[in-house]
Amino acid sequence: MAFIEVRNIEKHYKEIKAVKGVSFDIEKGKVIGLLGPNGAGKSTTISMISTLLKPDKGEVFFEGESILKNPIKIQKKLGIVPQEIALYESLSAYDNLEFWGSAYGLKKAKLKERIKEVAKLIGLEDRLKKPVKSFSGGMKRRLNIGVALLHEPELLIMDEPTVGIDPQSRNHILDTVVKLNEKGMTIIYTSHYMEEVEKLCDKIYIMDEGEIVADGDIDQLVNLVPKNKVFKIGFNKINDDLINSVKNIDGVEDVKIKDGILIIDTNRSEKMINELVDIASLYKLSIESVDIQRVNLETVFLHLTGKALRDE
Amino acid sequence: MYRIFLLRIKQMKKEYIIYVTMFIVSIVLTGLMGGAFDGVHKSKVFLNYDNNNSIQVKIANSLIEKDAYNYTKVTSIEDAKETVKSDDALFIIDLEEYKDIESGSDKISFIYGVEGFDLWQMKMNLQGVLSTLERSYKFAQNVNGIFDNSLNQDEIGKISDRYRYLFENKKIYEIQTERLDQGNSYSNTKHTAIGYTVFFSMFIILFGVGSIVRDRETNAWKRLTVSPLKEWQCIGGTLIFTFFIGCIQMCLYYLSGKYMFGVTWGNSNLGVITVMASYVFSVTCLSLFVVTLLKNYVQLSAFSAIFITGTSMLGGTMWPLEIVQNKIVRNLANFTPQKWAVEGLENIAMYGKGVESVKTPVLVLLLMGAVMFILAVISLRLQRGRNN
Amino acid sequence: MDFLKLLRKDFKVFFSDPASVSILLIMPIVLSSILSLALGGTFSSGVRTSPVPIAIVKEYDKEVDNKLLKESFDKSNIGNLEQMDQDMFDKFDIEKLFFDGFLDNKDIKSLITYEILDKKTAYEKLDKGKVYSILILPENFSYDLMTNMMTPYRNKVNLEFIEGQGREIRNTMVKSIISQFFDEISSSSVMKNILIEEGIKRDELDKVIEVLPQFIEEQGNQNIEKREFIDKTVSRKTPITSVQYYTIGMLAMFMLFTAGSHSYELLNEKKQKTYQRQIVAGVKLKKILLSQYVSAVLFLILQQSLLFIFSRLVFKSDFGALPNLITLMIVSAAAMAGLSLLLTVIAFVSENYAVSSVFQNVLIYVLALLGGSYLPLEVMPKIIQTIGPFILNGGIVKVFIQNAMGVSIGKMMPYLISLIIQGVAFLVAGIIILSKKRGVSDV
Repeated sequence: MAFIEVRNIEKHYKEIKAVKGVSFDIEKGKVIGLLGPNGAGKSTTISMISTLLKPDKGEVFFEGESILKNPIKIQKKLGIVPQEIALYESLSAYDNLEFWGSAYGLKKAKLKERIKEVAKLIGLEDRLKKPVKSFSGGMKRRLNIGVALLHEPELLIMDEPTVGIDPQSRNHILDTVVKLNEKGMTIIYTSHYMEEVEKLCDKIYIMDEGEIVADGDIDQLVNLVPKNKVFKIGFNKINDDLINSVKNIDGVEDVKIKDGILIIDTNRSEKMINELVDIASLYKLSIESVDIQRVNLETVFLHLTGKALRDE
Repeated sequence: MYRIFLLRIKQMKKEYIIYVTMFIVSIVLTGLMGGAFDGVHKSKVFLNYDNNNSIQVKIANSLIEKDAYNYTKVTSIEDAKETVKSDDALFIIDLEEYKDIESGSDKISFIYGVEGFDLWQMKMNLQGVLSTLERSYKFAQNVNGIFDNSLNQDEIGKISDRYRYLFENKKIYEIQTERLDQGNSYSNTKHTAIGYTVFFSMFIILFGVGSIVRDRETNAWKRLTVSPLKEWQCIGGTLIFTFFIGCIQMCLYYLSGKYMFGVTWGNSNLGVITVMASYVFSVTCLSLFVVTLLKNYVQLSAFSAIFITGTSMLGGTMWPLEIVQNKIVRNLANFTPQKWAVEGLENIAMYGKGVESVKTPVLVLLLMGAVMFILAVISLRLQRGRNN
Repeated sequence: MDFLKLLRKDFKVFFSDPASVSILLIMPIVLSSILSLALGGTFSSGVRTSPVPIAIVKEYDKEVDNKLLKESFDKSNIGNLEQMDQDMFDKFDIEKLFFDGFLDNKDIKSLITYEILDKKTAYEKLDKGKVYSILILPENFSYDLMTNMMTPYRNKVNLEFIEGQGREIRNTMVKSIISQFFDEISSSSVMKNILIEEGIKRDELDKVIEVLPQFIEEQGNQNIEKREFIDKTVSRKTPITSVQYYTIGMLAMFMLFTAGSHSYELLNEKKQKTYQRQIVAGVKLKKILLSQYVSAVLFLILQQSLLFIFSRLVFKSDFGALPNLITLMIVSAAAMAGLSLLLTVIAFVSENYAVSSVFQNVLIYVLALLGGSYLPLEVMPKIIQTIGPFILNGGIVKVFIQNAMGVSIGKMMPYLISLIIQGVAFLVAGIIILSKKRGVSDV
């Protein structure tokens, strides 16, 4: 029995199917990454897990029990860090921590103690009395996380927690996540930043258009892409003759076009460049840019969906 | 600035329901208020008197003949008091203790709950009625004395009645009232209609400039203020838009008043239009200045209440300024656009004057508007300076 | 979650916007103070306390008129002019009677002051506002009036009264007072004519003519009696002043504003995601709404209390028996909070502020007008008089006014019940809308 079992959950809004039959398991103490572009269904999926939304079909089990039948069980042990700064900005950091702590049933001395501990963890102990609206973006994000940790949850869902903040705050947050996981916390982490996911996650689920298109650890996902190199070549003009000629180069598996750039999946070495130059000369074209990439999550994603991870 | 104007038009299209609702409601309310004082409605007044006492009957009839109120004879004094308490009647005139002409006026009582102008006026009327009645009786008695008390009661009564008839209908004098400016006389009906036209027109103007506050909430305003646009350009587009909307509102008032509610706007359409346009300009600029100081929609809504109601009360839209006792408050009225708008419109629509009579109100309104616009620009400039 | 903590948070959030809070709490006080200054004392006296300045223009010449009178006596056969000594002319000297005897009377002087001017100067002063009106005593003024008093003839006197703009109420009072003098003369003339009629009827005309001058003089000696009536109130307390009325009217209007302002809160929470956070934390929507409702009730009571206390301390206004007043405050706050909750739910479910916006910018003013916040209902058309007290804010105005007048709670029951029904109806409507639009645990 997994810590969390998601079974064929679906959610639609009028005619749009935001989530179409998603299933996966989460083992206790693991960090799970949920990747996908905007509109993939990530937020809807975690909303259903967090009991914010009710699935139209399917079930979610927490420690073997359906959260639809008994949502309180998961709510008590779940901490949520939404993408938006879900805080009362006109109130102080302390007021926010106090309120949210009490929302999770913490009282009096225990509440005070936890506020102190969390404030130290997120590095805001000397700013507790200040109103949140006076905080920088990074500080707000840290407080956003701190609020979710007050009741010492066993499961933490973090929805793009590092969007729009400075690198220092970002690193602080990532280190915090690592520390929490080392203490045994199970974490569901969604992001656009593949380097974060690569660093933190034990397992990754890639979503697109409401479905999981791939899952596994980094190595497993990278191996989904049969090629280990991707050439991104920018020509001054792309035509059918060019594409056909490139396809005919030995070792080229796949050719795609994105934003006027030719993306070539190949297992060839950098020496293939010479052949590309020859083709360019043949059609009287010029090469404007060259980028050779090793396969990473972005590449995997692109391979699987034809889209980039970040902003379509 | 032109783009901002177009932006406001686009925003209005999305919120058109609010604008249409405001237009309709304002017009209906103004029509209602104008109709409230058409002279047809009469408030209820109780009269407590004994049908068998001829003096009391005469007094009651004299009051009833004046026809200023809806008089009702008391059947139960307690019930009448309850009616007054529940505000369904103005007061009770109790004549029961006034047994005969020798009784003093302190035998007549007024029973009321809320003070009011009607009470004072009724006392004046009753003084006149009593005076005439007492005099007629005393005269008849004296006439009888002259004829050696040979007249019977019937003849005495007739003499008394004759006196009252001649006194009421054959006075030896007449006071012909004219106005200095040859205009028409004051009309409470018209004052109320004009006052409420001016009052209700403020809603839509404030809502129009409130778009700036709504922009502030979404931070779109911040973007505008860090652009190369000058302050007057930032708010100029909104000014033009709101002025345009306010003028439409005023046109609707004018037309609905003329063709639906039977309002006569006087002999000078030009005068009326000039006053209305100047008023809209003035209020728009004043509102613009105010909104530069407000941060969010809740503040705007709450402030609108005070701003609209407070300045309208001070400016004499709800009651004639003449009745305000306090000198400071009367002087403060001069700083409200409403006061000048009411004056200008009354000059034409009520007093029947020509377009030259609106010169001063229009100039004051335009000047107020200009000053307020400058203050709005300065306010924005200071805010920009702080943010930099 | 502890309900009190939720309530405390709602209060803190609302009070964290000092500008909005001060507007809702302080501004009713400011506005009602303006009203007190503007209207204070106006309706109790009905007239201004300072005397009204007028100009009097004499277009007649007393000497010419006296000469005319003597000539008319010569021509007529009423009496022998020689018999009418100078004393008679003095007794009926119109100028003495009108100016010395009437306008210079202490009581009249406290109401009207006058200057005798030529026409041009009078008009100039009227134009400048130095006098409020001009009374023109026409040609043959003295002759006509003395003829009315001394002879059987009746000569009508046409007085001109020229008013300045903006002084209508005061000029009405001036005309009314001046009419008193001429009514006296009118009365004398009427008496004289009736006496002569009766003399002719009874064939005792000689007797009448003999006693006529003395009789008229005696009638004229009767002073205008100043009448004081007895004032009684429907309750034991002093009557409600217009100041108190408008304080209550303004309070009812600002309670509507509070209801509208509160209605933004929950949708704000939804937009900033704190609402969702609460749901995920296991806080039920019912509890959140209850907290919104209770915080609205408490704020409304605070609003009422501040205004009543201020009015009592500064203007010595009395709003009636305290236990009843507290009851009314609670009932009215609860009903108004019901409306607030309905608006909250509508905004929350529709996910936009349109309805709240229409309410705040349009409906409040309509309701304030129909409920009697601007003008007493009894001057409005009949239909508004009927429905006004049964509109939420109209009912609030009604019960507070009645309480101030000493009406018992029992007698106010129809309006109280109406308030309670409306409050409950708003709550029920809110619940229905919420349940129709939401699925279980759908935010």
